[in-house]
Amino acid sequence: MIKKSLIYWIVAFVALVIQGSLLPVFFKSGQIPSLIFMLILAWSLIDGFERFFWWTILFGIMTDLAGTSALGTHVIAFSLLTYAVTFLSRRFSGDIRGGGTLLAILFVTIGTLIAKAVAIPMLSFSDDFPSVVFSVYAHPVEIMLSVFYNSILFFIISFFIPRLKKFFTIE
Amino acid sequence: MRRIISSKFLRTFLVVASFTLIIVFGLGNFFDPLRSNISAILSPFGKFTYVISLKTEAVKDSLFSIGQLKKENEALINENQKLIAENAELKDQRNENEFLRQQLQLLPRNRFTLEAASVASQDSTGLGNWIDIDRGLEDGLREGMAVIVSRGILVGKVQEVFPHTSKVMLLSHPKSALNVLTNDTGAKGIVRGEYGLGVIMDMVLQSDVVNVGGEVVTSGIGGVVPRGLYVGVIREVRPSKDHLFQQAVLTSSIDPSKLQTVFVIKNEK
Repeated sequence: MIKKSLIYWIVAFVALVIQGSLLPVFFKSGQIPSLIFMLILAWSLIDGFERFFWWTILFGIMTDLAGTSALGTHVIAFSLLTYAVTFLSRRFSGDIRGGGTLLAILFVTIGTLIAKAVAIPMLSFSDDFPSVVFSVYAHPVEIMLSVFYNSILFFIISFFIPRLKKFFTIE
Repeated sequence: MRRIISSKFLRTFLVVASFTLIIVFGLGNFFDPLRSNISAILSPFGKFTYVISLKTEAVKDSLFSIGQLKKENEALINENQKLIAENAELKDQRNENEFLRQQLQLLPRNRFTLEAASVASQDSTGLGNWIDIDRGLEDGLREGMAVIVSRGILVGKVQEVFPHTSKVMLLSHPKSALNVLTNDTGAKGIVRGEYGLGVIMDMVLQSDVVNVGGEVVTSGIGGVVPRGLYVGVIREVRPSKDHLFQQAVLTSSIDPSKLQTVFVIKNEK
């Protein structure tokens, strides 16, 4: 249990460092992949809701405290993402490999849209809410590019996490 | 009905509701001391990764430009023939250039006490609204201090200060509000970020003259940010949404995503 917790925290820590210090250098503003969200997405599907839900809360708190968002913003986003994808994956009996590729891209799209929604509470301080929402979602090319980059990240993470768990003999 | 109200749904709902209340009532502020600790832990790793990323990006850019460099090399060889003949005059011009550079003073060290800081990480949401730097309370930084790069170009203000790190709110942040004026006509306004996509000068009176191409600098009103720091150049002038004021869309000469070293103005001499 301790080993599992340690590994999970280290992976989340590394993801936060990469998200803040590496990805913004290589990608244009508005197209930066959401590594943290894809990590939560992949882990939710691999571990399942029961085993991973409380980790989404802890990782959400850590992400909020590492950035400037109000405490709870990422917790809400991660919780909704975890519930949505585990609910949908049960409904459609999807698997990440084989025939579940389209389903995985659907999950990535949901994750991308939720990741963009996190920006809304931070932007809607003085101006009208519809304009803020419009400015976040008004660029379909950027959203498509974000989904594309996030899909690549998601499949990479989905490939490595089971192997990581196997390597460290984590359940 | 029972399937809908499952324990998973209930748990998710309770978490979402609880944290929504925390956000609405601002209870998250109790955890601000934790932000400092997390920032202190992340900062050295973030800085290291950021430096490596910038170097890798530079290598990538140079690899992609190899074809162009080849053509430039051929043109330079031809140019060199002419330069040999003009060498004496160029040496004299170079000496004059170095003298003028000293006079212009790339950094306004004679006006301000500056604290150099390295950028450790950026806004992880990708909107380019803030950066983390590796200087904090222990280095004399305080909230509200202006942050510049060379030649006195303003990039933002210190928003949160921890013992060894700080968060800098960039001009593109929607909460950023700065008193400015145009260099050529003296028109006053307030610069603020526009949804992370750019910077606009707002609340300019209809009677004031604002020209495209005009330079915008800080006005010093309020006493927090010193006067005369360069903000940007006017790219477009348009009426505000309510048509009561004018707005000017600004272009900055710096790219926040490429910032490596910044300078915090601790006080004016």
